[in-house]
Amino acid sequence: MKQTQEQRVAAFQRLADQRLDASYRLATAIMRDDGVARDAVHDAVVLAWQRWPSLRDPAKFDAWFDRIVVNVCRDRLKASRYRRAADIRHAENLTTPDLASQVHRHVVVSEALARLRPDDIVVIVLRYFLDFQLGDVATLLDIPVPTAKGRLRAAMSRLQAQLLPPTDIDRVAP
Amino acid sequence: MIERDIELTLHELARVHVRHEAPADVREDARLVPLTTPRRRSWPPQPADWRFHSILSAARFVLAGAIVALFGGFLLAGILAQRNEDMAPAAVTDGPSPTTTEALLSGMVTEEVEPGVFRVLSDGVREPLALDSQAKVVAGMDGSVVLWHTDRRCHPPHALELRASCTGYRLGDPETFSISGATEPEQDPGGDLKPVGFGLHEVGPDGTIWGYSFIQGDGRNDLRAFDGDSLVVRKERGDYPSEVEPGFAADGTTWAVWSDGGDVKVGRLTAEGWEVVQGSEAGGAGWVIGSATGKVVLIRVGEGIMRATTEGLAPSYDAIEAPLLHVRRRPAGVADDGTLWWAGVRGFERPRDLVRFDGSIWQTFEIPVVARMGPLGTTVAPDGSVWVGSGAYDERGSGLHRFDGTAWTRFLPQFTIFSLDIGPDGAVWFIANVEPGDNRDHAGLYVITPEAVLATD
Repeated sequence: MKQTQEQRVAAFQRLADQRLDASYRLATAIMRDDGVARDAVHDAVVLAWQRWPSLRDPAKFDAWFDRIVVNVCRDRLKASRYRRAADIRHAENLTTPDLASQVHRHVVVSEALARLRPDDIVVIVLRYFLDFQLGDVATLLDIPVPTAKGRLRAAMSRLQAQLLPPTDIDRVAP
Repeated sequence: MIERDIELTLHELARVHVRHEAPADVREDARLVPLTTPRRRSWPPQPADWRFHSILSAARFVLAGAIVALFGGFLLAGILAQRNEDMAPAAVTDGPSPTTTEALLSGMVTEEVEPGVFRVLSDGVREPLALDSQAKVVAGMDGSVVLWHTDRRCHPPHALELRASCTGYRLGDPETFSISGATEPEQDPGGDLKPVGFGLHEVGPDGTIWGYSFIQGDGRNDLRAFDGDSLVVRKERGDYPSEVEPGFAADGTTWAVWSDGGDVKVGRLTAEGWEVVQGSEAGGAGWVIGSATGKVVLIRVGEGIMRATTEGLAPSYDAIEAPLLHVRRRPAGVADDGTLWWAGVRGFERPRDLVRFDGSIWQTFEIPVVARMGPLGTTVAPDGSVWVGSGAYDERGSGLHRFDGTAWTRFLPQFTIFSLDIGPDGAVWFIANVEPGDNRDHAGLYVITPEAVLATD
């Protein structure tokens, strides 16, 4: 039975609303900035609505929508060459004995992460920020599991390489 | 740092950055999206849609052929031009059209603050022009420029005491106009005179100055025009939530939309008064907007957009679909080709984007970040470009931003823009200051000449 416009709008609103928290979580993890994440989620909602007719099975909405969110975030990273230092405004939430050292580690890793290619950032964030299994990462990026595994390994190597110079300097410093 | 430490740090970073709940405004905007955004009905194509793929392939083939032919043509033309260089006629460039701004500025005392950008120190009648953030400038279709000079002391409830400082005038014209209080015999028989606020709308092709008056808290307004002596009421008590704002056609007709007991009515001004051309019982949104030259006047009534002609109203933009139903706000401007522009429509992609509707396609364009900090005015120039004035405390003003349909150009970044309008010759008139946060009586009237605008293209 053909849906009316009102029914289509209501169905989309219901599904998008249900998925919004997870999408926002995804966007904040990848973009690491609340404001940019908001824009990314909004872009994703717009794109999803525009492509809504192409989704044949509403049961697959969540995975389909998450993929749009990831692609939007990746495009934004690519387009804006979005690079920022660690946002440690919320660092006070982390209460550990060696807070200064931890914040320093956050800054260093965060800056190194920001210097990576958008594709590397996305795969690392999905795996380590959001604790996705490799299978889920592969599904989300629409790639085979071995490819996801290889991409993650390469990304981590590049992240480690980014962190090498300061480590060397630390080693030779008096 | 070993890999284990990196992984640990990444997990810790997740605790810093990842948010688990979408904020309420993100949720609200998402809910609005399907109501304000048209769907792409046939994109991406369905796998079974073999005809689409066939047509697409053919189109690609034709396009590739056309590009090759075009490239070859250019190459050939280039070779021929090189050979005939000595015989070629002098290049013709599009110079600025005859400007009324030049004549206007010749009678004023000005200071050139940047090449092609002048501050008006005196209009030849008054000096100095010390304005503030509430002042407004309107560049009329007749080439004249009108200022409404007010400050916060003019606003109710202080308007009566200090109304002398709340005046308007046409640059170079000794006549001034101001507005005083009004009584409300219906609501308050024998009551005191109540202060009246005034906002400048537009200057018609015949030079008539139009604006609206309001009484604070009243919720309604009167459309007024300056008759050379005072601001007389030309349309009483529009009860539509927004002001009754007229639009002007190049043929001299003045159009307006107003609400009358819930019905939206469209009328044009005749010697006898307002002639109702169309009434809609549907209620809903209504506005009228004319392009800077008056070549196009579009009227929103109910769920459609009409085009004003000398004969009356003609249907236009039938396929407005859902977005317009929810975008009730009057557009920021319309170009001579009928393209409508809005700035900052909530729920329409990003709330602070520039929205364009050409009659069939809705598009959004991102306003530069610095302009987003405080877009204070948006208008459409006769050449179809869109200008956004903005203000920000930490970006040295933020300045003027011009969008030509593809790219943004920033002018005068040190300025905070309070009011902005563009004359029929393309001159950009604006009220601004260069001291962020210090808006009181420190603003001035500036103009960018059409030649200076063209020089940046």
